[in-house]
Amino acid sequence: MKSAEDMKQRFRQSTLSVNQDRHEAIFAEILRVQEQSQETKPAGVRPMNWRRIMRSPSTKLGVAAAVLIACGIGLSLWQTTGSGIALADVLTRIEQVTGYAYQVSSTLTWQRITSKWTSTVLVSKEDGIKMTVTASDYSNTTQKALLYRHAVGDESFLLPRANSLIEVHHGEKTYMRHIYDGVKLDYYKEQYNDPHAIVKEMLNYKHTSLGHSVIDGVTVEGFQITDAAYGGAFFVQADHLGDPDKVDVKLWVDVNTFLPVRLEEDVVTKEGARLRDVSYDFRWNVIVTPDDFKPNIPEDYRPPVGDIIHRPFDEENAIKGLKLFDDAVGRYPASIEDRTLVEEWMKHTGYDPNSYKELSDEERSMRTNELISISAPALFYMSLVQSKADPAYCGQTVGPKDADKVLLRWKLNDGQYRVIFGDLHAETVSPEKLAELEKALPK
Amino acid sequence: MEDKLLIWRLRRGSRDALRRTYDKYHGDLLKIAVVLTGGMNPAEDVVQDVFTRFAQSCGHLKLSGNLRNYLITSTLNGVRNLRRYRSRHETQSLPEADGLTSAERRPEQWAVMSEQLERLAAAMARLPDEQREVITLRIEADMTLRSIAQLQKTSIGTVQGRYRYGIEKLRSLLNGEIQE
Repeated sequence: MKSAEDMKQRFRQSTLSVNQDRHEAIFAEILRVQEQSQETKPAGVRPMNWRRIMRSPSTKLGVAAAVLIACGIGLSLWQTTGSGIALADVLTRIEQVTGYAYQVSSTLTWQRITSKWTSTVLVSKEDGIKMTVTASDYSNTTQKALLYRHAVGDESFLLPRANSLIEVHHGEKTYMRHIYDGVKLDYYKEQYNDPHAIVKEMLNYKHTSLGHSVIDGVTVEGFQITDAAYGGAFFVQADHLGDPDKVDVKLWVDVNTFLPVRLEEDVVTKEGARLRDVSYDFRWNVIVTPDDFKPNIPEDYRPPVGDIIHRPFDEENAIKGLKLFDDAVGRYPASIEDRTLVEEWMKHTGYDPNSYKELSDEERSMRTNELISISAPALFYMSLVQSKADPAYCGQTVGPKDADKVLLRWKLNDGQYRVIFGDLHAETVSPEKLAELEKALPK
Repeated sequence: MEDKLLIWRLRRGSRDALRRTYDKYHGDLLKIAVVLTGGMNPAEDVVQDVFTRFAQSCGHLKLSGNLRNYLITSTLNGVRNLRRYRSRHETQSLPEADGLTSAERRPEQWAVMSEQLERLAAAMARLPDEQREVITLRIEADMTLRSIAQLQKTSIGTVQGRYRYGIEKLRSLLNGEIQE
């Protein structure tokens, strides 16, 4: 033990002296990352599940537009944080594979509804993701259940080259095309239980080891996440299903290849909905060709709501939305804090969702995208609230002619404020200048 | 108690709490990383990465107790990652790689090692990875053998053995009984 005491003494005497300038520079970088993290990851905000909502043209489009646009929030969430080392290796390993396939079995239980379906998913690193529903079963066919129907043969294609997502419903002879303008597609990969996206998401959370086990003769190591903030389970984001309450995600990885063998996601929402997804039958390094990812849409297929263009919820699109509202209604919305903006616009423009079927494809597309544009200020505002950017909106008292009055403002990272004035020009001002401007606002 | 308060504030995005955590633990972590990697440059990379990831994730940090041990474990994981990366990307043997990195100097380093620390790090680089980890975690991080066994996913007996043999070899190296 004398040796041990000697060594302890040596360790104590071994010191280092810090270069203060470098120390400060490193901290500035770390602080920047913390701020960026808070800015890009508003608490609890996850893209909502537009796919299941928009499946049904009977869904209230005002709600659907809000849901659709919410897809853009929180898209840049890919921080590779967390303490998982082996999981990071799994991610590295998956990234080396150019083509793979797997099966997903899903069960959704909500109120009296139980929907079960199975899909085959094909992934190409270059060409995208294709999912085909291979089996489905429903215990109930109420209107609500229709939202969760998956007909056998339904296909969807996530196409990174075209920055779009296409769904083809052969039974109904319909298709839907989503175009992502300035929005990254990464998040949507989770909707396919793509193990690459899922593992990336898992790395954001604390995970525990489940030790070793054997699945189909393969020795595997398990990882588990129970953090309710985990966003990988794609179903739970639909607003009427509620936020996740209980999450149990288990990933089983082949100890020799470091590649996933089985993924289980079990999520219970605060509204009592439960989704269980199991991904299995992984086939790694399968041969894929670009033709595998070309949607076959026969000429007689129609889009129920036209092409949907998704844009980021930023200052530019918020201004466009406010302008559009003013053009149609003659003033700005009284509030942009909730859905009343869309309801107000629908009321003033005599918008009737029931007339949708009678419109041409082009008109339907235009209408849908108009709704998306109108909702942009509300969703931008929501993102500001969630990132604690101290936003305030004065649409009740400020109009289009009030060039010097604050219509919308929020705080920037450097402590300055960004202000959109009544005439929709934007400026960055100091807190003192803002206080002065806000003093002049009508009570 | 201070760490619990720090964690609480970190979850709420406090800059001051991040600053305090950084100031409080950077020295310990750097020293641990130096003796585990054998050089200041890789140690700096690892510790900077630990704090960067920590800053990204501290908003949803699920940690009830020991912040120091959490950061030390993250540092250990960072060193293991680096080791794996090197073993995949470098054909050189690890001690040589460590030696090279150790000898390189960046224009501005986060910290300068004392002569004793340089000697200690060089000697530690000659030990097997597992022994190096056990000695560092036991002496520098003051962790129990049980905790180290959990981290290394092995029995306490094995950890005790690694500690004993590692210490003996380290003593011999530092006293010049084993030639470079």
